[in-house]
Amino acid sequence: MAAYLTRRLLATLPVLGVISILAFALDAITPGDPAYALLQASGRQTITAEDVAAKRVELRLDDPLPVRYVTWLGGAVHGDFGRSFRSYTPVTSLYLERIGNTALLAAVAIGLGVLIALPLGTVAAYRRGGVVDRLAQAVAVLGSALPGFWIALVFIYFFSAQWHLLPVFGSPTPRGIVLPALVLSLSTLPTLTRLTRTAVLDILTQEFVAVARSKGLGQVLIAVRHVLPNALIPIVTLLGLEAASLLTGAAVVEFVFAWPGIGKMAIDAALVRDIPVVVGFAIAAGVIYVATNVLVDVGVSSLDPRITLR
Amino acid sequence: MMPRGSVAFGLLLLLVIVAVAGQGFWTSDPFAQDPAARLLDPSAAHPLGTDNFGRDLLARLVLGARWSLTGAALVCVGTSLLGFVIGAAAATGNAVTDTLIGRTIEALMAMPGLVLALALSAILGPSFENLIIALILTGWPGYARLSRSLILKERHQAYVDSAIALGAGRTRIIGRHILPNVLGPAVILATSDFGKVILGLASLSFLGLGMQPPTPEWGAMINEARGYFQSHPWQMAAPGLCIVMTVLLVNLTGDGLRDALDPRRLRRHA
Repeated sequence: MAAYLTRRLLATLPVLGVISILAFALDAITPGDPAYALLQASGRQTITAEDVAAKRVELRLDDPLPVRYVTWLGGAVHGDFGRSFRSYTPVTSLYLERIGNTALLAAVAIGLGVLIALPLGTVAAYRRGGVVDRLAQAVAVLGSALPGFWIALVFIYFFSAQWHLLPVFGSPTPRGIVLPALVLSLSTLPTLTRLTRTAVLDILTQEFVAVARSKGLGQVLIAVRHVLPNALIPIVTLLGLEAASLLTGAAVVEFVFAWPGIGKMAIDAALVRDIPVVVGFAIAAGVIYVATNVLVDVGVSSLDPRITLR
Repeated sequence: MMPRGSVAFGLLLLLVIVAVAGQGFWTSDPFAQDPAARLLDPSAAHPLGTDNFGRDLLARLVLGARWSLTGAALVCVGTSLLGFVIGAAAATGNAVTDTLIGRTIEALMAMPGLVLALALSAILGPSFENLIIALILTGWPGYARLSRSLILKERHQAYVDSAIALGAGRTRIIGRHILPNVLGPAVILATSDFGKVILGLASLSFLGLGMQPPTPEWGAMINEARGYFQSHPWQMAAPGLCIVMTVLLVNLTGDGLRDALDPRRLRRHA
């Protein structure tokens, strides 16, 4: 296991390497002088040409690009991704402060998605062509056509403005998390329902299900003991990908609900062209994706003894 | 499934006609402000009412259709062309090029949807043109991967060998002989992406990183309506419904097209 993890993590290095080059490139093509922007952010009242020149030397901005990249990478390995052009706070601590809120929202949204999609997809597979199957298809078709930011506003209109059931702004409290999590879970429903349905359909044709039936097990017992555990394998794989995209793809929904997460921060930064913070978002996205992929591999192997990690 | 796809395609054509020629039928000026006619309910003069500045909502929605559809079309054509060129370079280049491109594709695909587009449009500055450029520059990896694998498969076909024997150069072989054979799957991928691109354009315009006011793009219109949607929900609902309807029609058309062209059901790459 330890050997597998080591090798798996080493294999992610090339991808992380390319991500770091992309992030550095984004930093490097940013218009304007970062030295000046940072001096301004640090609260300096008067900024002379000498100040800017000194800051440029300190940031090594006049070095050739390859040298700058190596310097940048050296900092990145130590968790230093520069400072915000606005608040002068280190980018890393800005993200560490907010990642917990984003993770909480993503976890609740995925939980809701699973609670809806798993039964829906399973029943749809068992009663193929029936009412539930049609409903599941409608959910899948409609769900992929809904813009998250708009559904967020529609939900706010009904649940907050009209019926006064829930707060307009999201917050990490039991009442404040309902609406944002609900909107986010909608985006996971189409793929999750469709995949559950196909996975269950696939397993229902397997021999061990026929064996279980022929020895007289009840439908419910077969579903719970034999079908669902096997269907979980592709579902967990998908959930890993969904989790990665929810941690960063939730940005627009976070923005509408003013949810204090990394996505809202990145959009706010993009609107005022606080480039180091925006680039930090791209790095966070890449790292989260790579990490969840490793976790999913490990998770799937514990679900399916036939998969060995080598 | 084919009938459903055909119906959707017919309605989509109708929408395209409205986007192209709609201003000929409904001649209200989508930019004309009228302080006396702010936030009116639907009437004969304004079938869908007016917005915050007294501008005719129907006229603005009709013009918005044009932006959404042409924007998404430009992005899809741009990404598939760029993806094809990069995929071809990977498939026919040496091992180093292939590995470099492969790793870049992997890294770009590790970033979910709009993360890089958000960064790029922030750096380039907020405008609809820059948003389209950002989406093209970040959207090509799926197409590159598809083109690369298809070209690798086609490269050893007899017709390619004959073209080489006739003395055709690399660019000519790829452009004249391989491209037509790769086009089908790329078109399928592009149609299945089209709806997502419309949503992406609308999301970033909604955030203020795409189309700027007063131009009526549906996402930007929802953003403008955000200030008073609790008292006038229709202002926010109408452009949203337009987006949902368009993406639905596009997706249903795409599904129908895929079923018709590819019985094996091509996997979505993006």
